[in-house]
Amino acid sequence: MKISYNWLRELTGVEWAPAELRERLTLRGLEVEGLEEAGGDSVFEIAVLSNRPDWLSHLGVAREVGVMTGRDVALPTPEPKKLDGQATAFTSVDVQANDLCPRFTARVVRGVKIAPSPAWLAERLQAMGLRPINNVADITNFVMLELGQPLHAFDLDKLNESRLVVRRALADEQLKTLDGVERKLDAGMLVIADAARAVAVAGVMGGAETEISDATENVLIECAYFDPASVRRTSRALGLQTDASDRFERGVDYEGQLRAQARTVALITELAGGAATEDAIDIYPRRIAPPTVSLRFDRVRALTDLDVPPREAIRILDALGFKLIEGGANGSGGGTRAIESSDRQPGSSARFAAPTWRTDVTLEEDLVEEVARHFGYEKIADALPASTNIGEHRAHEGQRRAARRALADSGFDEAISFSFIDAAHDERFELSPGLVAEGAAGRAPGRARVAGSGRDRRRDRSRPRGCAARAGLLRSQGRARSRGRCDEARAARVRRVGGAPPARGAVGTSVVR
Amino acid sequence: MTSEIKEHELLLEEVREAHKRDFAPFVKFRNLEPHDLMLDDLKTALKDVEAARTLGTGKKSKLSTLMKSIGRVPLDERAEFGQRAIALNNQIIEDYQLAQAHLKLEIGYRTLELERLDVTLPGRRPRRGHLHPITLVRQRLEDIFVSMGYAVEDGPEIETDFYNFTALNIPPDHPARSVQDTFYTSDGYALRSQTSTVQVHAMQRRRPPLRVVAPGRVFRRDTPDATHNPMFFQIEGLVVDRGITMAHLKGTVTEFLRRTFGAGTRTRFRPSYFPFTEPSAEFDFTCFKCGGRGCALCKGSGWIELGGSGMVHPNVLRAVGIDPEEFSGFAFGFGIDRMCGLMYSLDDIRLLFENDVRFLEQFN
Repeated sequence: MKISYNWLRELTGVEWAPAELRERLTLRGLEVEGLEEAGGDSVFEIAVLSNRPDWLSHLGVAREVGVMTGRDVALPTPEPKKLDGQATAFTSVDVQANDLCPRFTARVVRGVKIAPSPAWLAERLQAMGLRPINNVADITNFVMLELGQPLHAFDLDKLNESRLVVRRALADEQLKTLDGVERKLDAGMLVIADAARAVAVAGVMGGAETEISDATENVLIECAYFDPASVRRTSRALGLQTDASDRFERGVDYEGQLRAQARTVALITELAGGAATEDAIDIYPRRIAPPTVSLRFDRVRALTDLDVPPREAIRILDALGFKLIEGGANGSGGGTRAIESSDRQPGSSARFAAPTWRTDVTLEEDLVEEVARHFGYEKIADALPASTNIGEHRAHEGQRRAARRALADSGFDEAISFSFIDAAHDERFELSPGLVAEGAAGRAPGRARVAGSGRDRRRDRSRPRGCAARAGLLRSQGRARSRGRCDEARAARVRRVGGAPPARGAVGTSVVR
Repeated sequence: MTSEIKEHELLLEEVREAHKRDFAPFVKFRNLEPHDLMLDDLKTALKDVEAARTLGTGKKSKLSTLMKSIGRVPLDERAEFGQRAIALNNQIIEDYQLAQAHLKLEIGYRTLELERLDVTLPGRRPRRGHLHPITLVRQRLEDIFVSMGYAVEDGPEIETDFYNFTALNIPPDHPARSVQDTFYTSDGYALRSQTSTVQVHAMQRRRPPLRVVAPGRVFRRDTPDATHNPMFFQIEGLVVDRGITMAHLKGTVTEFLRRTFGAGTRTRFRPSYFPFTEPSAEFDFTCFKCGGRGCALCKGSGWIELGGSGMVHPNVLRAVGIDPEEFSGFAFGFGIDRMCGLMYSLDDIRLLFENDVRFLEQFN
């Protein structure tokens, strides 16, 4: 994920130079793999941890910076230039698959003028690796990079009956996506449709026929929360991975839609003109409750050996967006601010609601990690655990080593080869009776075929255990011979045979003369 | 009388003819004629000469009979016959003596020639084989951990879903479970994708306090390139006891890295994510080439990334029936191949399993 230093500075007021910020981010788990200068800005390439989709936005990274600086993130307040009418006057939304679409919001901007984006917007997108298209499309991308919410803009006048239906695809339904590809949908996929046809693959990509064009005057801005597993399945099935699907399949903030949408329509009225509806359609029948998790403050020390004062633990969690529900201040439920403004000591534990953008927090240990992470892993001391255990090698390790050494001393090079062999090669091997040990988990031994694909079909079998260590040796012998080294082509391997320990040892040697 | 004369004259001629026949193979030795026999042939010839001499001149030989017959020759012929018989006798004995002497000389000379030793010549050494670099590194790591009180553990490479995923807190829809990432056998088992599976086996076999280390092969569906192979070696460490903390984890990793890369080695922990640990950390160590100043090996950062670690996830402890309120533990793991690549400066780890003799013979 590319993150702009200037953008972060606007959100956080951070004053550390890019190189220092890079180091600090890395030590907090946001590993900066690259740092490039581009047009007066510095762009961080951050390796986003797979359980932290919230870091796929500047807001998410800014929150982490905010914990470090102790300052709140300053998000711009969206203020549309011109408001006119209710959303329901121009469109309607029918969500028929609430299980796959827990929340759907729509808002309309009428009378826009589609044009290229102003330079600042086009340049910022380019620095983030995106190609500018037109002002409305660029604004949706900009807001996705800022807040982490993928949005889609439809040409309202191209929607049959100017309305949307969120449903599962019909059998044999087709849709030409924005990339110009005609795609066959199947009944498990979630689509956004109008009165007559699918107009977007939900959470993955919009359709070509309803996209914003130079002639577009009225736009519908959609922002939703889709079921992550459903988006992942659809994206895999279509072989179509997009910035939107990347975020939806890992989980977006289910409370962030309206804000992202407001930010989008405000920018549209500012940069493309037109009037936004005063409200948005928001279909959110069952409010998602964030998990609540308790933290016993002494667990931080028990697991990390860090001595974090409860006050500091609460500060870190609060800055990360956790809400203190109870405890913290000896029975007072006054929240974080109450703690900071009072002299009372926090109690021994506290209960928090996880932020709505965090999909990874369910247990006390998760809170311990957050506290330790920001208090600083670098403060953890080095200690060796006291032990009553006695070190021991595996059974027969001495013999194995002696066998290896003896073979090496008599001229054999030890070979280690893949555990798979070419299926064609395998046909030429017979399983030797008596050499085959019992397979893993008590299965009958033999030739287990490993599911193969084009790219690794040469290794598409697991080796029949115990009988064909030789296959790898023979291959390397063949190569040695072809290089005229047959006088020295000796190889040996000492390898266990059979699945479950204690396993039998076997030595395979192979000499070509 | 005539017949008597004829008889001893006949005997003398018979002896002469027999000698001529029996001695024929040895004439060349007696007369020092050139030949192309090898030392062993000469030794055989010497034995043959001795045997022939015994037969031709011994007590039961015709020659002996001839000499005894002299006394029975009529007196008037006896002196003359006696002289001829003695002359023949002497000639036969001389023939054998000369042949024997010449053979002995030549054998002695040729033996000396053969056994002459130039102690200044370089010895002809038999070619020694080599242990695979993975084995060298692995044995070294095992020795270090055994000395730190760890038991080396082993586990199956073909695993059930429970050991490879479920017990490691990897949720059902996690991408690691997909056939794009993990190898499955035709009968539905997974080739283990990390040695962390051994954690689970070890905790089922042993109860805490325990400390084990498990080196072994793991499999992932990576397309081979300079830094990836679909099969590679990992080593996994696990300690479970009362009161285990991340400080113990950090101290242990630091201690082991110091023993491997030198006493000046420092370590750094970075927060990370693994399903089977919480809190989780990746660990880096100061570059052993530049000592942390920054060089090509560490890409200028001074740090080398090595592996993943963390406190054993409470769900993993529960999966094997250990109460996370009573016990805590840490686990760490890293690639033996990667360590090999670092220690031997390999540009391309695909070389590890090509088994090219020119590659293998560089290690020992």
